[in-house]
Amino acid sequence: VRDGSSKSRAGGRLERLFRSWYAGLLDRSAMAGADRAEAVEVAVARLRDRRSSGVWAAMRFAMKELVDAARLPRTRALGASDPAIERTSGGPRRGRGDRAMDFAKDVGQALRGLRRRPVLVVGVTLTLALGLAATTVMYSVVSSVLWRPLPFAQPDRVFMVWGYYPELDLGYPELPVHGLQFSRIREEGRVFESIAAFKSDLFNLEAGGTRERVDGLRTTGALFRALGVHPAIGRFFDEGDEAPGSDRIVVLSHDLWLRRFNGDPGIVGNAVRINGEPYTVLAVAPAGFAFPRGGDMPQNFQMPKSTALWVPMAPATSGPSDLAMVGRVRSGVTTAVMQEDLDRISAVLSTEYHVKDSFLTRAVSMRTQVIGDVAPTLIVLLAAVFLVLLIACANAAQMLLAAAIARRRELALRAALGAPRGRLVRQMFVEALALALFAGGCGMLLAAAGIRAVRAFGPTRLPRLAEISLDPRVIAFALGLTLLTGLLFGIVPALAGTRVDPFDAMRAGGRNSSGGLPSRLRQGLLAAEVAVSLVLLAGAGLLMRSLVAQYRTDLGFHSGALTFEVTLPPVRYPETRSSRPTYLDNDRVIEFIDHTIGTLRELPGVEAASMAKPLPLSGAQEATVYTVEGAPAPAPGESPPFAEYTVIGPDFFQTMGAPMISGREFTTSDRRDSDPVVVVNRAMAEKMWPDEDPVGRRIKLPPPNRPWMTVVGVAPDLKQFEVTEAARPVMFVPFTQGAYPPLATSTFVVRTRGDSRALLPSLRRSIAQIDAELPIAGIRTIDDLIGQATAEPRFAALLVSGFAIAASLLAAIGLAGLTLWLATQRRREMGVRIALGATRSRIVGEVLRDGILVVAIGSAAGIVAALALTRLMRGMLYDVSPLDPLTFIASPLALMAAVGLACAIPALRASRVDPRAALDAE
Amino acid sequence: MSHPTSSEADLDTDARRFLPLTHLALHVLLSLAAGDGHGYGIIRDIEERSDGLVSPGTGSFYEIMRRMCEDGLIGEVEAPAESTDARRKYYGITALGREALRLETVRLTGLVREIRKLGVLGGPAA
Repeated sequence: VRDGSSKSRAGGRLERLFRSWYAGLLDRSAMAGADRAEAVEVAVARLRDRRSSGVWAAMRFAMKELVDAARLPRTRALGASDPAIERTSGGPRRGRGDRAMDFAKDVGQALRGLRRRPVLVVGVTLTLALGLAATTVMYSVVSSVLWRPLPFAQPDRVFMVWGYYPELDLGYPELPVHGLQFSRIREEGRVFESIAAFKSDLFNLEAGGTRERVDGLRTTGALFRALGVHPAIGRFFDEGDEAPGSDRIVVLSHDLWLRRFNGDPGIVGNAVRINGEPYTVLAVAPAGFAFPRGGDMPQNFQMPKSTALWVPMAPATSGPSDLAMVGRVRSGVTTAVMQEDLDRISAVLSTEYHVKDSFLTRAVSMRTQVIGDVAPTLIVLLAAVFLVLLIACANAAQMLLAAAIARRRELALRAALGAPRGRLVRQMFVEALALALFAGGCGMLLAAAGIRAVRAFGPTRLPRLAEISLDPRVIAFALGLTLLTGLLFGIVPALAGTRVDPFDAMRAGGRNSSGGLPSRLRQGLLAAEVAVSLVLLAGAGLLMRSLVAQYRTDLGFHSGALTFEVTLPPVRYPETRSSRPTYLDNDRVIEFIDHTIGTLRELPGVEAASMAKPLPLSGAQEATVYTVEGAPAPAPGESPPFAEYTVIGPDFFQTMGAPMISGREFTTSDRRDSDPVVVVNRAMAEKMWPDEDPVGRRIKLPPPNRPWMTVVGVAPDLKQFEVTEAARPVMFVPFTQGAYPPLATSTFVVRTRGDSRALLPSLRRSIAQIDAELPIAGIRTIDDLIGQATAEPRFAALLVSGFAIAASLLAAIGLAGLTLWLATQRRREMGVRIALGATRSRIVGEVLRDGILVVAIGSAAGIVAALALTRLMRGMLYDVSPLDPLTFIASPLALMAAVGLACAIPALRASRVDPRAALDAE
Repeated sequence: MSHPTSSEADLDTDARRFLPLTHLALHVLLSLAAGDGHGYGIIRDIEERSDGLVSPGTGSFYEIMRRMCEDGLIGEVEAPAESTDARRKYYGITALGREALRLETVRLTGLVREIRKLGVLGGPAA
């Protein structure tokens, strides 16, 4: 077919040109490699075939083939929409299938694109996951604690009723009430639909051959009706079941039922042994019901963390005030009307008993009771964590924006080749969304771990701690946040990144045009991040300092001792005068305690042993008024002196490692029939006998016929509730003389040489020798007690520190990103200047300058904000001023160091630019 | 790429999914029904049979071949002994492809009958 050498040469050139173009176009298509090679050969062969029909026919064929190849990625469908065929009858039509295909392709392309940029993916994921996890955990806590309705019917009508005593600071405002008060309110009150009185108690439960001590509640009948709960199985008891004789019935908690009775549905009607007596199981409470939970109730009531069983009781007409009350008001009764009715009843009682102010009660809505004063703290923490999330979003947006700008050249090229802008925007959007979802997933995993940590390590006094969970609403919230974040920072950089003049981008290599967000705005954002981080750092610093101060506080005693509790069931130590085994016999209890202390002392490795009710850092037993011998009676309208009241054994202070200030402590010779004695703490001594030694003085407790007690010693102030408390007057009396009613539960303290826990086996053996049926419970070291007492400040400090570190990290990452971006933008310029002899340190300095400016402005604003805001934390601080200079110097320095380091790395990298490479890159 | 376990009814339903066949697919099946062939040969066959009216772009053609292979209408077969180029892929029609071709022929025949009824061809109306 070769006719003429010139024609042949021209044909050869056309063929070569065609081959290279055609192969290039096929390379960009989705065609498989082997097919591609063959297709090129076939196309060239067909071109050769056309040559016989003339150059124009060949050229026309070549153009047709090139167009066909250029359209290849879209020629997928075999159906009627096949463009190769449709073209003969009026141009390609695109169906729904194509669009779905495009979307799938966008997703695929986005994922491939992300895999090519691991730094971006890791940075954005870390940033968003941290922000989302922190927000989700905090939101979960807040929504569970503050916003989820209480688990009672019409919870707005449920109120706690407490006693109170005006102008008396015992460190706790809520006081227990007396059975008499309760009975009068129940009988004469007009506002309550139902009301119940209750007190926590410990029960020895025997079931399935094992004994266990469980936390339970003695309550009058209407408790469940007042709260508005319904049993899971069986029926709850009511006021008709209070009467002695019908009161050997018990309601089990859902947990206890599952744990001890394997969720046996036939449990109702069965008998269990409680404190050695048979009780009939009446009902199983609904899952999660454990009223009262200690975290929801006033601390001085010493209620257990959760309640596992409920037994009915009738209100006592004598004995101490030791009851709490809960009632359901009739609908429509206002708080004012309720209070008026309560005041009316206490006035009646005051007149009857001729005592002023002794029967006052105050109603508190259950909501206020449970949530208490944590609401403002939680809201502040939630606000802080939202700031962290905003920082995270801004950071992620910055990173994506920088990435979009770096890709402008690629985008411009694709736009020039005919890719529609909508398609490019969509693709980048899909990319951002995929990234956001991935980061969101990581964040959720992190959040789930975080919530478990909060439940495990959160302070027991945080109300509703057990209810905190990642509930569906929280998941919806987090998912919403994730998508919102994806939209937010997906759309903006996508729009900014594609609004590019192709010629400009191609020519300048993406160097000099501003990409969407002006860099002033970016710098402003970063300065704000630095400021917020600094506020959080300062807050965390103050809380940490406060925590350290608490650890350093002199508690008045030393660690290194072991404590445990034993509860005596009345049935085994019954009062001999009574026909019913309801009350403990005081003589038998004293004998038991005495014998136990003696046995403990004999154990090898024991230095000292004693008992106390209650232990330091475990709250107070009771408080009482007293009279000082020779002191004038209090003027009318003035309150008599008040002190807390603790029952202890001989050598208690020696066992606690708390040396006496003066006088002696109790010994085994302070017996029931010897002279009544008392030890006072330093605070009481300084208050009542400011300038003299109180040893030898006498005081007396009401009623007036009680004997005088002689002060035999002054003890140091021991922390009773928490480390941060101020010392209050406390009197100590020997267990042989002071306990009323008899001590059902005693806490023993044993100081050992060496590891105190090694003592446990022999300790259990010796208690079993005294009474084989008594379980030992509440085994803790003094260090455990201290740990518990500092759990709340530790939690707050750790939480805020976590936020602060996260925020600082984010700010550092953001600044490093900005510096890196600026350095990359100026790469060419740097290359030129280095080539012209500029020193590297000068280049580093210039790159750093922008970062330093941002940090300086941010720090200044942050310090001002922190100085204003930390004042609000005054209540959370102990022994640290909200303007603590150390904190306010150290936190900006730490932040600057972190951020400086983050900026230095990209700056140093910029200075190592190889001038030739930088110029060649253009 | 045949379906040995399918009954004829299944094959019929399977093949019916591809109807109507595109021009190019019909031509490919027609060409392969006469005997196995390679890409270049099939293209030439199509061009000859259609008097040059159907002349697919090479890229589109290979794309169609790939899709038809995926759909099981055609399949790759071993090169015949007399093949000169070992790299060339040879294609053959499958039972499914044959059935699709048959169904399409029936459909087109019906179509032609309709057209005849209108007397467009000038012949006697049926």
